[in-house]
Formats: sequence, structure tokens, C-alpha cells
Amino acid sequence: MTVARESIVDIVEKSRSRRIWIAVLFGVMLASIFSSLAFGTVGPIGAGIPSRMSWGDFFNSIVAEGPASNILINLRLPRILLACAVGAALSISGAVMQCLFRNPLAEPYILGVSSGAAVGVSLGLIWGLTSLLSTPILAFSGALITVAAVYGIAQVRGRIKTDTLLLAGVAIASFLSAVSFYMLYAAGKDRDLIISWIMGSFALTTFDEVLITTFVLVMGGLLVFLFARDMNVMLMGEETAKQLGVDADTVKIIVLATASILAAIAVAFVGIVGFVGLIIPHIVRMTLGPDNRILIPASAFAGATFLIWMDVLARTVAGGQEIPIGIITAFCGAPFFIYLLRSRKTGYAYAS
Amino acid sequence: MLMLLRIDGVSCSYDSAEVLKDVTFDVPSGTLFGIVGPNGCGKTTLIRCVSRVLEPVGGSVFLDNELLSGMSFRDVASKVGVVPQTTRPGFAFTAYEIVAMGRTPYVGRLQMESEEDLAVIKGAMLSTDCWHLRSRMFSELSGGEQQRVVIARALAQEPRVLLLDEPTSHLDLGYQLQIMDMIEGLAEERNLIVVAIFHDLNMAVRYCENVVLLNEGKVEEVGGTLDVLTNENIERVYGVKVAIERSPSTGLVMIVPTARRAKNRGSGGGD
Repeated sequence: MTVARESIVDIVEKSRSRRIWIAVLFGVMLASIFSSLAFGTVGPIGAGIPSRMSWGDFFNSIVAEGPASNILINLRLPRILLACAVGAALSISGAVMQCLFRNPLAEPYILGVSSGAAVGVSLGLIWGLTSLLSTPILAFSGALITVAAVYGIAQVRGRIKTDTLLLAGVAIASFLSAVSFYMLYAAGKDRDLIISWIMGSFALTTFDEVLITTFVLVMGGLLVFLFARDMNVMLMGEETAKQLGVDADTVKIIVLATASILAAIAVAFVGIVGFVGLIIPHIVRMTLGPDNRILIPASAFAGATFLIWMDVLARTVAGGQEIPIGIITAFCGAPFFIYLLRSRKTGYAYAS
Repeated sequence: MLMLLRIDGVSCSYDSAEVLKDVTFDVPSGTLFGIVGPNGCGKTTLIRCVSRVLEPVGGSVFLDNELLSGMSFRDVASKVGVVPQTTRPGFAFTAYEIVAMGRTPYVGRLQMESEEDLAVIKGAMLSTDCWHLRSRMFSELSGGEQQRVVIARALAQEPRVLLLDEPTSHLDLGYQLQIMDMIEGLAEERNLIVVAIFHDLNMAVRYCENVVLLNEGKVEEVGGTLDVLTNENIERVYGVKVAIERSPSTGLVMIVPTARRAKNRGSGGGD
């Protein structure tokens, strides 16, 4: 066995350096949670209204009662934590869907899953079911029904046609978005609420929402991670995966349902945030390769970090004015994504 | 010791259309066994049945008196390795990562590959001469190199049966012979049961000791390669007249098409 060991050193080294990346990204995420507290209307960095806070006051307010404790701990910290959890949930969801459908375009927003969840939540708003439990449950139901429908449409004789899947997803996504916006509009809901829905917002986040989202994220993320190796094999195609010993049909149902629930929990408390689920897994795959055992945790931490800083921009760039998070993610994400598509490294991440 | 793959009365259907009808034959280990027959006769379906991707509606597949149908995918994968006609991984994996997937039936859910797994992977890659390609992207390899990597993946499953779906169809002449010589060597060395689909009858004649000739989902004939691939059988099944000649210079048997029979297959038009 030592013979194998010696000459396989390069491969072992490579997989070790990739695992170190996971630890690094996790560290960056934790550092982002703390440092992003300093950004905002109240704080040492930001608009400084009415007057800029000193670093001393800032640290005091975090560790003990201080002039801005309430804003920093009860208002800002929960939205940072929710941005963190939602970024991770959307990135895992996107990574999983791209893998299962073997298509770089698959993600919860494009497949209509997010819009399905939005219909569920909108129904809740109209029926007055807006409790901490009913909102996510309605979002899950909407997402799962939608993913089943899109999947059913794309299935021809037991095989998934990926083109049909994406087209059906896009069609269903815009149909369901229209449905949920119309429902809110017709019910006379306030326009700000509708806009914060279309574009997503982390304003007015509570710790309870953070707890529920984190719980769903951790359970769903771990469940998906259990099947990471199976998903690698399924990238060879489902038939080949079965011949290599993976019960592809079962894995697909479990993992796809979990990915939909992860996307739905993000919609439930934040609204529709595009682009995160699409670009984060791509960027990670381009740098660390397609192995899901690395890709899934690395995407989670990278997506969390990304959304924390996007939310910092959302609450700082326009002075005291809050910008919907979806505008920021699209604004920053899309050009960067196009740059990546055109860059030479892309060839590394995608076969043929 | 001689092992045996027994296909016993296997019938198979897609959406009620019967593709295989009561197919029965035995395959011994150590030599190559060919499946030949015209397009749509059920060759690939037969491979899908043996590898348990498709559940037969009737009959059974036995490996050394053990029933394969009804086993879990994982158990079958530790006994039967498949080399598909084409391999296109969804995202870019290295050659090593592709071969490592062959260890799927042995590696637990939360485990990394053990040293023993690494040794098996390396051994498989060495025996198909692709170990030096391990860090290259699979998609950047040539057709022949890709095929060697995929065969190594099947070997990494440590199977007793190797199923190949037209292993040489996308390869140039040099690679065709290289791959087939390699498979022949592996069959003998590892005492494998090797079943391969061939479109090129001359490949079957050159490498297979026995073949089964399928036609419209039924076994037309099974036995020694030259006993099955006779002028009459080929003309009846493929609709082509052939001359079967032994080359005086090389001693190799060649099947040379001479004319298409008047009864046309497909829409090629009358000639």
C-alpha cells in the first residue's frame, strides 16, 4: 500500500489544499459577520447620520450597554445573520440543482422554485397567515409543488429533457411571479411591501426568523452533504450512476426536495433574491473544481459572505436610504458573471 | 476457475413494446464474448438488463448461480462494471476523479477513499495505461485516452463481469486495436467475464471466441464466432451478402460485404 501512497501524493495534496479552502472560507464568513456590524447609518463606517460614531463607542455598544446597542444588536445583527444564512441556503440550492440537471443554468430562481415559494407566502399574506411557522410552511409547499410540476413537464418517458426543463422553469417562474404580485396588488397591499418582495429585503429582520432559517439551513445542508459523493457520480448521467452503484432515483428525489426547501426558506423571510444561487456555485466550481464534497460547503460559506457584503452595500450606498438587496446582487453579480464566462478559466470548469 | 454469467429467458420492454424476447445464453470467463446484430435488435437493452438499470419483465440473470436481478445497485456495481458507448461528465473532472468513482460501491457515505481504495484505483489506471494522465481534465483527453480512463473506472469496481457497449466505435484504427488488445489481456489476466457489443463484425471475429447474434430482440444463434457469423446468418439478419475469406498473407478471417440483398432495410431506396 505504501507504493500507492508515494506516487499518489500529488492527488492527496490537491484534495487537502481544497479542504483547507473550506476552512478559509468559513473563517472569512465569521470575520464578515463581525466586521459588517460596523457598516451602516449608525456606526464607525457609513453615512454617519446624525454624526459618525467613534470606534470606541462602537465596541462599547457591542459588548455592553452603549449609545447604539439596540440598533447594532437587535436590528443590525439579525439582518447580518439572516443574510448569511440566506446566502448559504441559496448557494447550496443552486449548486445542487446545477449538478442534478447537469446544466450550468439550473438554479432555484430560473427553475421557478423561488416564484412557487413566493406564491405560497403571498397567499399567507392575503389569508393573514403570517406567523413564524406558517410563512415557511407555505413557502415550502409552493416550492415543492412547483419543482414537481416543472420536473413533470420536462420528463418524457422517464428521461429529463434539460432544454424543456429550463424553458418550463422560466415560463412557470414568470407566470407564478405575476400571480403572486397580482394577488398582493389586488389585495391592496402597500407598494413598498410588494417591491421589497420582488427584490428582497433584509430590513426588519427578527432573531426568530434567523433561528428558523438557520435551523432549516443546517438540517438541509447536512442532508445534501450526505449525498455529495452520490451527486458527483450522477454527473456522469443517471444510467451510469446506477451502474456505479448509486440509487440515482432516490437520491434525486431527496436532494431536489431539500434544495427546493432551502430556496423556499430564503424566499419566506427575505423575498426573491436572484443571482446568488447561480453565480456563487459557478465561481467556486471554477476555482475548486466540481467535487460536491468540496463545492457544497465552500459554496455555502462563499455565498454567505457574498450576501453579507451585498447587504452592507444595500444599507450604505444610498446614504440613509435602503436599496432592495436583489438590485445590488444583480448589479454586482451579473457583470462579474459575464466576465467569468468570457475568461479563459471557464474551460476548466465545464466539460466540452 | 471458470465463472459463468447466465442469461436465462430474459424478456424486456419499454412502454409495453417488447425489446428482448426470451433471450438465453451463457458466457464463460477468461475470453471475450460478443453481442452482434443490426441496429435496434436489443443489444444495448441487453447490457442495461444485465447491469440492472432495467428490470427484465421475465427471466433472470445469474452470476455463478447468484441472482443479479433484485440486488441493490450497490451490490450489482461491485460485480458488474460497464463501459458505456460515450462518457460526457457534466462538469470537468480529472481522469483520476473519474476512475475514483469506480470505488462508489465500496466507499461509505461520509468516508474518503482509503489507502486500499487508492491502491485499487492506481492499479486499474496502470493496467489500462492511463496513470500518467491522472491530473489531466477528462474532457481534454483524446478519444482513446478517455476510453482507457473509463475502462479503468470499470476495473476500479473490481467487477467479475465487464460489459462494453461498442468499445471502439469512436476510435481510430490504432486505438481500436490498442483498446481491444488491452481488453483481451485483462479478460485473461483477471479471469473476467467480458461481454462486448460490436457493430464491426471483423472486430468480433478477430477478438471473440463466442458471439450471440440477436435479431429483433431474439437470439438468432449463439456459439463459436465463425459458427454463428456464417454467410447465411449474416444475409438473413443484416440483409447483406458477404464473402467470408481467410487472408492468405495474414491468416486472419475477413467478412467482406459484397452486395445488399434485394429486400431493402430502411429507406435507402432500391438498387
